[in-house]
Amino acid sequence: MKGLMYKEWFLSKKYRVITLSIYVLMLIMCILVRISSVCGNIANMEGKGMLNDTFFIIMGLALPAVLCGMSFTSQTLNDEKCRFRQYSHTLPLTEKQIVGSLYIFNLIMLGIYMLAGWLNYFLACAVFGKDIDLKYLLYIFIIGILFFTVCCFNTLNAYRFRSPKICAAIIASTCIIAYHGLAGAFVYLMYSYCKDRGYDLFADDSDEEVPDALIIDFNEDLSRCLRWTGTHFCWLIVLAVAALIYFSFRRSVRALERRGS
Amino acid sequence: MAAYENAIEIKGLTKHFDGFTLDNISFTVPKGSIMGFIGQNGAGKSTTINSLLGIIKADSGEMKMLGMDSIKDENTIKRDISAVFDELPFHEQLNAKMLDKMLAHIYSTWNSDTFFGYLKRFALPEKKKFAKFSKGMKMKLQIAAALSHGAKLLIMDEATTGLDPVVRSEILDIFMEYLQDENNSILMSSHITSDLEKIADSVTFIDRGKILISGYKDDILASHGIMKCTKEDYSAVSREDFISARVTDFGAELLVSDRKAYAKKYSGAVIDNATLDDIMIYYVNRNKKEWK
Repeated sequence: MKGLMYKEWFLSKKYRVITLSIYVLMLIMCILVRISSVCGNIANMEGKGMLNDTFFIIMGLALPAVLCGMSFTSQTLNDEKCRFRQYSHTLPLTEKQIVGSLYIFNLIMLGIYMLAGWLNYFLACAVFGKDIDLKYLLYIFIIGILFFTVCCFNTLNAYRFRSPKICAAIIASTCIIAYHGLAGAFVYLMYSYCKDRGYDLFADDSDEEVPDALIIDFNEDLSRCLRWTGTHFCWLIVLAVAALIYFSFRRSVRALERRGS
Repeated sequence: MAAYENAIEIKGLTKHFDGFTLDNISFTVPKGSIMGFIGQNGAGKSTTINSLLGIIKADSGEMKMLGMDSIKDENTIKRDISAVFDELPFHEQLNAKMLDKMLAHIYSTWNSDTFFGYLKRFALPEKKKFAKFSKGMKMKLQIAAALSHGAKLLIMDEATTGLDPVVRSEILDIFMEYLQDENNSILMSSHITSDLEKIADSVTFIDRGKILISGYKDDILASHGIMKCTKEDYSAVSREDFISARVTDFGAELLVSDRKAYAKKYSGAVIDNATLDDIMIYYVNRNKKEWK
């Protein structure tokens, strides 16, 4: 198992170099923007413009997270491409060890990327002279875990279908369905919320416009509801994510156990 | 490990694919010997080897390696066997040093000194990426990796295909050295029969998913022969007496499976030695019986 983790380490070198370069570039940009704001005429550093510290932090995290995900999936597909998957069946390793090494390695890498993301945030705060807001650390953690979960799902497809095209098609359709599902749920909630208060959003003959205050109230209520769920049922979310990762792992093992034809 | 007589024992191996069936394959590779597994492309050599290695699941049959069941004792067996394929199964971004580190943590018996010794012997660079290796270098690398963890059984699928005669000869020498240890055995599939004629102790010939001949190479070569005769003489030969015949304008060449018996039956007929190549070609055309 350790041997396979070494293999993943050697193969992910390209992604590590890119990630590190992104962090360094982000930091250099932070410093340059800070210098410009102090010595030059850039006045959009107070959180109103796009070029603020949040932008740097999110970009500095999201890109490495995407790269980490790409590396995770490409490892499986590369094994297939160079016939290492075939060869791995001749090694004294079980399917659990083969798949497990990939999952554990990427979980460790995700941890390292998260730490690097936090470090990047601390440095950005130091450069901008801002107080450290712990919620950013949480954002970094949540984005990382969500990406990891998506990647687990994609890795499962890679083991199952052994084709980059099918994997891309499945992940794209899942994202489209999830996006439209969430958008639909949001519209339905808003529609029900307004209807309960005497406004029909979709009525053709309605001359009355929905007051802005109602929309604001809806947004606030929804945020409150989500916050409440997050506070009281965060264990459920953690459990769901863990279950999804475990399910992907088990199914990946099963797919590998099927042995090719 | 329990004492065993045969390094490989296959009984009734069957695997069905759409358009191809590996039909009730049985053969054994005696311990300390090298068996050549020959057959034309698509005959079922790779399917047999892949089933043996557990790369594909067989529909039925019993397979034993080193005296152990290939399914029940899979992990124990795999510590003591090595597989070499026609293509390099390692990622092209890796180099030999990385491969050593990786395999050292997979095989408890891995010997880095042996591995680097082979690299030196084959003049393979340690830090060059595999992507830049030639076909011969890739094959030598696979063999170096296969022989560096004290494997008792080497299974090779078309390992010498596509290599030039110099590299092939170098590799065959390594195999002969490997077989100096009487506990080591080799199963080598190939359609380059000249290599097998040089080194194989026994030969198994497969065609269209069926085993046609399996036995000691010398016995097979001794019993088979090419009977050369004129067209007139050929017409007098019973069709049951030969495997198939190559008929040209100048006469006919027939492969017979019992040289001595036919020499007696057709006294005066010229029966030459048959090579493994001849045997393979004549057997492949056995259904046509007569070909040009």
